Amino acid sequence: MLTVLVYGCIPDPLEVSGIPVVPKQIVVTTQMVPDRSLIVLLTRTFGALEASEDSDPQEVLDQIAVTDAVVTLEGPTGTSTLQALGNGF
Amino acid sequence: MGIGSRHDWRHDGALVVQYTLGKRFAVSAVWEFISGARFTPVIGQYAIVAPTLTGVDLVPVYADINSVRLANAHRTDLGLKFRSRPGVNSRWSGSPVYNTCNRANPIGITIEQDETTNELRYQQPGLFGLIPFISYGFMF
Repeated sequence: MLTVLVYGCIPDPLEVSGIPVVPKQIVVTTQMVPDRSLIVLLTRTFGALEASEDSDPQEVLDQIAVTDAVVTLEGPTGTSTLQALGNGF
Repeated sequence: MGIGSRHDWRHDGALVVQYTLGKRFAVSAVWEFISGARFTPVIGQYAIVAPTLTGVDLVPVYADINSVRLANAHRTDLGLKFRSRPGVNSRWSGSPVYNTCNRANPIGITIEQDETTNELRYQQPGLFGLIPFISYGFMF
């Protein structure tokens, strides 16, 4: 009964204001398998209130992926343009 | 030398009022105020390629350290005390109430999802609300 009483008196949470907004930035991540492949992922930062653990990962990726970029690699042998695979890859 | 953010209480005070009603009754009221503690919330996320190449991982983006302050915490406690037997072998009982206003004294910031609109929002949950209890004491 005491547990029910204490649980019933849990106060409503307070609302929050003044949280900074994350600046929109392009995120470039790469992963390379030696002598095999090189993957470059271009996405944008998004706010903590724009997606949760229950959100569809594909929908989130569609919203944050950068799909209109041209990625090139410059090296001793010249410049190579990477092929776009979609969804920011 | 710095101090932990949880101990950064810029203002901390209490107002205590006690009054005796005759020989047997006494009332008391306490109002305590503590300014909000500093906090470093998650304000965003970004995606990186998972090391296993099976998808993407989300990495949190934090605000500047201790840049956000939680809401001020204050509560009101009321008490009523009754002494049934004055003297050396006195007994007394009371019925105090902790946090009479049932206000949340925030312990952090969480991200909760609204059940009806499925929107996410920040919230500051409290730990203890209104707690009435009975006290009894005696001397011998």
